[in-house]
Amino acid sequence: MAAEVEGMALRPSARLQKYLGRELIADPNLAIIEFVKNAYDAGASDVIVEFELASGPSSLTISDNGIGMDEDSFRTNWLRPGFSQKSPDYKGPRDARPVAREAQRRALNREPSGEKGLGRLASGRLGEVLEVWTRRTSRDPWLHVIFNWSDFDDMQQYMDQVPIPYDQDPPAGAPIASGTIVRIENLRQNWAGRVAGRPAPGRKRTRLGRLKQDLELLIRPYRAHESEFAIDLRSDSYLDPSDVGKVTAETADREADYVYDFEIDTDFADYVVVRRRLRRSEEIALEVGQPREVEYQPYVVNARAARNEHRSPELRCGPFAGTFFYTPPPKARRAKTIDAAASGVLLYRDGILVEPYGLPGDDWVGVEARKASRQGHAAIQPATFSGNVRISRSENPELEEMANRLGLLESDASDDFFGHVQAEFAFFENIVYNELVVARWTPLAEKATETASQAGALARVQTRALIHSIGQPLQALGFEVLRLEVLAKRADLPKEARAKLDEIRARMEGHLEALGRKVERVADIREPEISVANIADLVAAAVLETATLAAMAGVEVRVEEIDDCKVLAAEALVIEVLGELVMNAIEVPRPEGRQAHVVLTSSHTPELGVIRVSDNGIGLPELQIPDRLEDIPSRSGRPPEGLATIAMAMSISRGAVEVLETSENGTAFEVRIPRLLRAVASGVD
Amino acid sequence: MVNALIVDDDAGILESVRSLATEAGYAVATASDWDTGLSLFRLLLPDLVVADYNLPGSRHGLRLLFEACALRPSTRLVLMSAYLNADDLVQVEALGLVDRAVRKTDPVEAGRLILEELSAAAARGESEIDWQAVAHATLRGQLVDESAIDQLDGFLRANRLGDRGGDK
Repeated sequence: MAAEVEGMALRPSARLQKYLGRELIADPNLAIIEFVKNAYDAGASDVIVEFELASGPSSLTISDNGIGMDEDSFRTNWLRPGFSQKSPDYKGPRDARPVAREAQRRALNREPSGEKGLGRLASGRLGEVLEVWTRRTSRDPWLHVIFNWSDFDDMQQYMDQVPIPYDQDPPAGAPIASGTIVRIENLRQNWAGRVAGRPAPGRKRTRLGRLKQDLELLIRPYRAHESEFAIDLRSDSYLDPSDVGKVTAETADREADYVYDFEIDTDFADYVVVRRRLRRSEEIALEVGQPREVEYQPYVVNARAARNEHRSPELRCGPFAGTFFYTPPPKARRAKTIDAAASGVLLYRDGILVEPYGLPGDDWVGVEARKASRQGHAAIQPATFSGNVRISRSENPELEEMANRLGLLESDASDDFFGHVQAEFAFFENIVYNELVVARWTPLAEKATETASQAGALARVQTRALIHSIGQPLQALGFEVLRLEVLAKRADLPKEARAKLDEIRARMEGHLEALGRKVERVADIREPEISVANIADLVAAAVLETATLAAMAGVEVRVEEIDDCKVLAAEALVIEVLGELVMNAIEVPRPEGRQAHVVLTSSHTPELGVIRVSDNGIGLPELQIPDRLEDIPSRSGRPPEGLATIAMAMSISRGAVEVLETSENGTAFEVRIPRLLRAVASGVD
Repeated sequence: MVNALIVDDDAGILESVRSLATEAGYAVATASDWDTGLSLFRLLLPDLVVADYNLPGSRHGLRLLFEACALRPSTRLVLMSAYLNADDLVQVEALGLVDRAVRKTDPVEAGRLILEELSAAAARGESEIDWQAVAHATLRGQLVDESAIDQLDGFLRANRLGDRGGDK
């Protein structure tokens, strides 16, 4: 019974639980995550989330080896929703009674991630009955408490009038010696099934798969300072084996080539100050010739800087910090190994994910927009970029969440906040741009010229040898045709036979002449003629060349976003290259039911015209993309030399062709054509 | 009597040209390398030699034709090649050494030219004194410049055969 107070007092009806737990927390995954966060805060090293769905009444058991509770602390903490000793606001005495030592050490090193004390109410979202077993050490008796949420449905009762039974019955087959076990029976939803509704990009369609993704997102901000925390997701029934298993900080995040940390605060004069630190992996530091770690001078955002960087000179949102991770995708680590869930910059408030920021489909940091503004020369490929931005309730009270927990309310504070995050991303992106894109292009252009001249000489020698080898049988055939001509004139043969012979002779002669003309054309190829051409014309010619094939294959070839410019190109060669790429893109295998299309786009920089050919096929067959195009196996049944020819033809035309990206959703090739002629090597002849 | 000597390292071509010549009523000798060709030339002294430019056993395609020219100036020389381009043929003919240069990339036309040459050679062989050949031999002796032959040979070998000057 609640103690009487003077004046008026708020006394919630028992039914408040229903609203708080079942209706306010829309996503049942959040209810589970609340328990996992409690376990983290309690210093657990292992949390087992186990579903029993295959037979009997379904159940979910979450066991952790963190600091458990005795009856007193259970009454103080668990039974007071909204109260938490973990909160920085808590000023009362700390509990000094003995607990599991390791758990205590870990708990002291951890930043509390949950402090609302609402998680337990959320269990009503999962099932009707919640049982809790908890004890502080393996020598203590278990405390067993049973919540039957239907008992709270009575509006006439006050919350503290609903009896909550408890005893000291131990749990059956407990996987932990001490800590806390919560068990929910008769689950409200079929966890082995699929999520209803339309599929969300990058999100699993199975309930368990999506829960695992959410647990990974939860665990990611712990990565920097915590490796002693693992979640084991188990189920006796699932649709996809990858939906269950260990979730650790390592599986949730990867070492990145660039790790950029920033902290934004105000100084004594209320100026916004940014502290920045950049760490490079050993490989990338070596490659770009920069130190492994840089601590930048504190950067003061004055009015001018704020204007230039499209950020606010104020920090009405309060101080916050963030980390960006980036690994350039080329070569080995490109493509399929990068899953959608590991990209995006997530927003955490007190360690809790704030949706939908950084989740698939959300570009709040402006990564995609920045990529688009670089016109095909984006330093950062969104697929391998990730990060987190950390805010808290105490430091950022002005950043208010919408009631449905789906985003921050629009305000001056949130405007400041988004502006600063985006400006930090632009700063980081610029570093990567200068180190990777600009620096790589200069030697590349020189190398391309050199390669082109070598390739040109080699091509000419190869062409000559080829023409000679074709010339021999061709000439022999020429003699044979003349022999037919002579035979057709022989008087001793019947007239009809002579006429037939002559007919055959005439046809063969026609074919041979045509063949001879083609060989002659090849023989006369010298240094390819490089001339000024329009990107749009090159694209149009390639599309025209492949139109028949596309129509036959029922593949839609779309030309989108053509940013026309003049380039210097061996026109015929570039058209051949584009044609070959489009043909490949038309013929790539696609999963059943996928409407086939090929998209051509173009962009340009002062130095280069860029044409992209993208298909929606199944991606290149290898996990690792070979360095050389000629190493890519043929996918269309046509000779794989096609790609080698493309690479050579492009280098003869002083340009380059590269696999831009590939995944199970398709492959994009990029053709780069110079706009300035650096040097045309003189031919051998 | 043999009307012509055909030298080519491609067995298919030799077989076809021999069949054609026989069918058309001419007699030809064939060789697949220059040493054999030269022996046959000395033995048969044919009115016509049709030779490939790049032959095994030869250092220079034009130089070896010059040897034939020096041995018997009245012999008509036809150079046949898949390597040389149209400009090269003009240059080769301008030397005054060979009477005709033929590209294999125009196979039926090249065949017709050779058939023509065979027919002319046969006609010349039938007359007691071939005045045309005498005039031809006299003129050629004055026109052919040996250093120009070597120079053009060097250029063709380096640029058409990808040869950098070593022995083949």
